Amino acid sequence: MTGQPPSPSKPPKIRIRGLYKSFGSKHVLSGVDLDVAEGTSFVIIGGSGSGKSVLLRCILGLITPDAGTIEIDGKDVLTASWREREAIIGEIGMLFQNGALFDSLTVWENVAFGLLAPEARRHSAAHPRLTRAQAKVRAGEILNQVGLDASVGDLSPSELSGGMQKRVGLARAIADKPAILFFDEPTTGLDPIMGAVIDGLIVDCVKQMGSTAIAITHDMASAQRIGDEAAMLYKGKLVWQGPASSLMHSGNPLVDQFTHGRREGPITMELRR
Amino acid sequence: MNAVADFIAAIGRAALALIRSAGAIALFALEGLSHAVRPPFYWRVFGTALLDTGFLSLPVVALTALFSGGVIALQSYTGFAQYHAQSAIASIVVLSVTRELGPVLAGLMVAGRVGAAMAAEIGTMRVTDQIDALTTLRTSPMKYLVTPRLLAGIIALPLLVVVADILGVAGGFTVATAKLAFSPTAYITATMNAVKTSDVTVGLVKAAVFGFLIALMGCYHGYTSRGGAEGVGSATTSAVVSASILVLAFDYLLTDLFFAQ
Repeated sequence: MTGQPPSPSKPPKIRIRGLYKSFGSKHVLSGVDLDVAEGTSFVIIGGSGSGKSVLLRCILGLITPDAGTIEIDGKDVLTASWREREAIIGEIGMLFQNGALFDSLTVWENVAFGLLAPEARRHSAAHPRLTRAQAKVRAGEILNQVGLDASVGDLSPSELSGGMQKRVGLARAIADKPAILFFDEPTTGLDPIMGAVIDGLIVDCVKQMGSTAIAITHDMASAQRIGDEAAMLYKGKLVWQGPASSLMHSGNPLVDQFTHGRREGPITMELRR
Repeated sequence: MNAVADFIAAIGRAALALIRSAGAIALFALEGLSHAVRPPFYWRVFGTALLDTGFLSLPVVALTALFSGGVIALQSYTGFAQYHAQSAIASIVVLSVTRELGPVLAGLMVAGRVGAAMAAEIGTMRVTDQIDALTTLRTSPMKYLVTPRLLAGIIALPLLVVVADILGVAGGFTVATAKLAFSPTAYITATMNAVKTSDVTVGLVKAAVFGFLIALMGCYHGYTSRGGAEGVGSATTSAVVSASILVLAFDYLLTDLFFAQ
């Protein structure tokens, strides 16, 4: 995927410095530094338990890090006031690993949740308040955008297949046209064809909206399809960063072992633990 | 000596854990209630919670009250007949039902039915990232999930207890007139003479407190559940057990407060 080339004078959309997070004696993040330029699609790879999800949740404010700074558009999320933080989170859409669709709501209500939630919107000319009828129509349009028929909107999430649930999750994430999109393992649990379909939808959505995206995955095909830039998280640190197209021949022994799925290599001891 | 020290340390740890939990629950309750006076309010969620807690609990509460009233009449007759004090049965039934059995039985039934359901629903939302998803959609999970349920508990339980009071007395009346040969007019007159407005209102106050406690335990244990299906199961059990114990404990405290001379 091709994003807009970052301007050298422009500050990064997301800047992370010295991020630490431990759970008891387990150090999950040990000083993560990361810059994501505006309009870039950034992929973070790493093994299970390497801290990818924790990193994403720290940026979203779902987990409070022990130390470090997270800046979005130059504003430190961690020291921001409640109002500022709400505004920052308002610019972020998230596709969760398992979809995280609300069971008690229909599909269209899930997709339109952010459009209808009274405290979610600062209603303006660009984002007018919608009635439920208008929101249902809008949800149908967004469902079409992710390749689903609007009639799916009346179903319950439990009536959908895994791939359809991911698409609905994607529809919900993009409904409010966020400036930043996060994808947590977008293809996990899907067959390769459906994985490619979801990746294609993600690329299309990010391109159309011009959003900055961060995806975490351990699916190498997905990482290369989605990403402009990539980085590998290992033992709580970013051990490599470069173009996503060079993931399979990075020259970094940790990345090479991971991307080629080799048993032998520097990560062996970790696997035997 | 070491064993004694270990024993004391274990008691201390348990006491600290209890205090920590009580503090966490109190803060959770305060935050949940504070959202009731800070807009926006989720009327649709509140309506659903009110329906679940109140209307859908009606059959189980109604049947429990009806049979309990009948049993009190029967048991009282068996005991009081020895002392020729059968005339007190109507008073015993109405006072037992309005002051104690109505609110307590309704509370225990709702704790089993609604407290468990709340803990399971919110717990499942927690372990499947639905609560985190609410946050990413700029919706406060406390405001959306907890506050409407707490208010529904406070409002629905007194309404259920009104029904329980009426059916409990009706159960006693039915047994007394159909099985124990009481005069219907005399039974109703004795009932009306025995019951005071304060008996009913105190019962309703108890019900509101129980409703709040049941919803609080359901929401708190669900909201703080961890660890997949097992965690949700534990949260559900904890919600029902803690709500049932709190209903009985607060029943004693409120009885002592309102009726102790």
